[in-house]
Amino acid sequence: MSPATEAPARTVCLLGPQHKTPTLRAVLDSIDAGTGPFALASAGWEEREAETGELEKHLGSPVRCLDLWPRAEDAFAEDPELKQLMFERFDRMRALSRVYRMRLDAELEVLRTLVAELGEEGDDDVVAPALTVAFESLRACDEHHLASVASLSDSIFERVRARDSVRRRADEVARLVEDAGTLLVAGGHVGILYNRMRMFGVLDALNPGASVVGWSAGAMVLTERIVLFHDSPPQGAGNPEIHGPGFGLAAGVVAMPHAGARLRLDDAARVTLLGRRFAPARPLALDDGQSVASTSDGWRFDGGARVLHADGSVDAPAEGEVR
Amino acid sequence: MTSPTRDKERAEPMTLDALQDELRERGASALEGHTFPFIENGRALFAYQGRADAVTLHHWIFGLESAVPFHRAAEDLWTLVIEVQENARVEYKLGVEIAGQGRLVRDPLNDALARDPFGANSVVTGQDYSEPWWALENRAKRRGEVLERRFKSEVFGDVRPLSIYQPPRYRTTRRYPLLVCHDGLDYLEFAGLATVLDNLIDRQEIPPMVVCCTQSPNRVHEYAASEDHARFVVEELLPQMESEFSLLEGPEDRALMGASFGAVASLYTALQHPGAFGKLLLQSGSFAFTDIGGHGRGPLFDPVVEFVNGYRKDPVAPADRVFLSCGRYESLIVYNRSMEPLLRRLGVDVKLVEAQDGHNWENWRDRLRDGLTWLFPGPLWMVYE
Repeated sequence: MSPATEAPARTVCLLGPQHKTPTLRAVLDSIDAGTGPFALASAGWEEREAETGELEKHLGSPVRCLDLWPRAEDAFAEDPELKQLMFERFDRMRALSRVYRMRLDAELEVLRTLVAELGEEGDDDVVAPALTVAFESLRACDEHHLASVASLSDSIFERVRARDSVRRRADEVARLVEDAGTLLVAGGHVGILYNRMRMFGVLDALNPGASVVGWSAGAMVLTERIVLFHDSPPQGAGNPEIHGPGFGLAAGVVAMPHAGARLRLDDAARVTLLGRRFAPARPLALDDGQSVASTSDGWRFDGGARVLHADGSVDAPAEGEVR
Repeated sequence: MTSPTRDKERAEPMTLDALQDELRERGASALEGHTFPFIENGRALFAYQGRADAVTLHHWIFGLESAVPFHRAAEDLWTLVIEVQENARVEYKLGVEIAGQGRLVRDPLNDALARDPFGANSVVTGQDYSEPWWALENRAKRRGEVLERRFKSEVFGDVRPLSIYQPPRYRTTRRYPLLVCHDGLDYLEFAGLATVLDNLIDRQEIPPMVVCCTQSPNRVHEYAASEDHARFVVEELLPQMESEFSLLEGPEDRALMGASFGAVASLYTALQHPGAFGKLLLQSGSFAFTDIGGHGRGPLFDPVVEFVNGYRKDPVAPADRVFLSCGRYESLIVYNRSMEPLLRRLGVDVKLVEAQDGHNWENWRDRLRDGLTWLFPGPLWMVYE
């Protein structure tokens, strides 16, 4: 886990997609702490990272783009050993994922079968205990993978951060971030976004009082674990899977942006699998215009952000409700 | 290519039977205002206007009479009604006989054509068939580049063309899967391969990849289970690609593909050099075999049948993942169907997709999305904009 997880509590907001109906400005206005200067981590956009015009127009304010993507590209070009380190991590991640997915296929097949066996009341005295054990097994599978990836990342990023090519650039990033009032974390490729933020220690350099606001993939990386999901991908089983740890600023929730398009939220069995699997963390469906913001009493829900429950239901807390 | 055979002109669409009656009664003047072949509920009405002693429909649907006779509906007007299933796509020509002289022509009343290295055929499609936009219309925000190369082969002692698809945003700080495509120049020209790749990469359905398109000057020999060809691919082409491009290592990121004899070449190469390629995309593979008697496909098939017979007798897994596609209107469907369980028993992750289509480039084009996304699932899973 990144040292950033040890940072003191700060206001954190998780938003759904911002393409169609941007609500970022409104969310910032609604939290006392959402002030500038704004630093932007948008490495998930990859080579489009610097295309901040639309965002600045929406905010009515300039942003400091951290340029994590080009910085990493420059560092790779300058430092072949760094490139090899990241290739090493990539190859190892693929190997871990391959085995994890094999286990996951089997675990989820059992669970789906058992969920289908449960009666309407869900109190079958034979199936229900078996289901409990099956969920424990699935969670153990998830936790093992999460721990494996965390260990790999800790080891590789320690070596990455020690390299001069990265250290110099991390210092440049730190100067852009240290006096920021709010860090904005945009969506895109969630793996690349996490990697580049970790590589340059973006959250390590952040002022403890600064707010952090992430949308789509940017929301996912702020949680404790990044969960990949799509019920109907072009190919593959579409089994939700843990990609690895996030930065852990948003505790107790699993961010699921684009849930309306990527998940069958009207399928109670599927919702049960998500709700119960990640409990006590709450999976949050974050679609256009939807957001949650951290408060001292819990998460404040806005715009119709929904919670996926272990009983298969999906509910949208009232506007401004804190849970 | 336009979609044929819809009667959109009239407020009340004419039925196929009524149109046929009208053609009989009014002759060629009744053709006006309609497109042909005229499709209705799984049937197609063809028409031919002109002087002829006989007119036939020539298609390449295995199991059906290859030349189906038209009937004279009126003076210099011939018609034929055949069944065309909803998702079917059938390439055809018309045989026109005059004074004992026959010739094959494209249907003058049908603008829909399918091109191939030998020219073009007319096409009729069932009412539910739709052409894949992702092969015909490049909607990608960024496009890859096709690099032209002349490659000197020691194995064959000649210089041959290579067209190498380099994906958009290619950079040496990343590594890419490699796909080697037999008859690759034809795939580019007749199956829209570059457009397919651009669109699928843009939609994140496949990862950015490098595709090496090869073309043989003598494919019926080189692709017919030739050891020389396998050496050419693995010992010459592969090192060249590895030296020039930033590629992922290991067989799980290397694939071979091809259609017809190109599929045979892909399978044979993978078997001759185990561990070099972990994925195969095999379209309408000419995997002919004989359990008894001769194969009846001519001498060019002799080495292929010998190879496939030997392989069926003593099979080993050629790759971890194999995608097969074949048209149900091809005689090869039997061989491709038999390949699926054989590979599955060997532990290969195999998928067979069948189509109501024949042995042609547009069939192969239409199955590319299925095959490529199955072999190389893209980063859509990772992207949350």
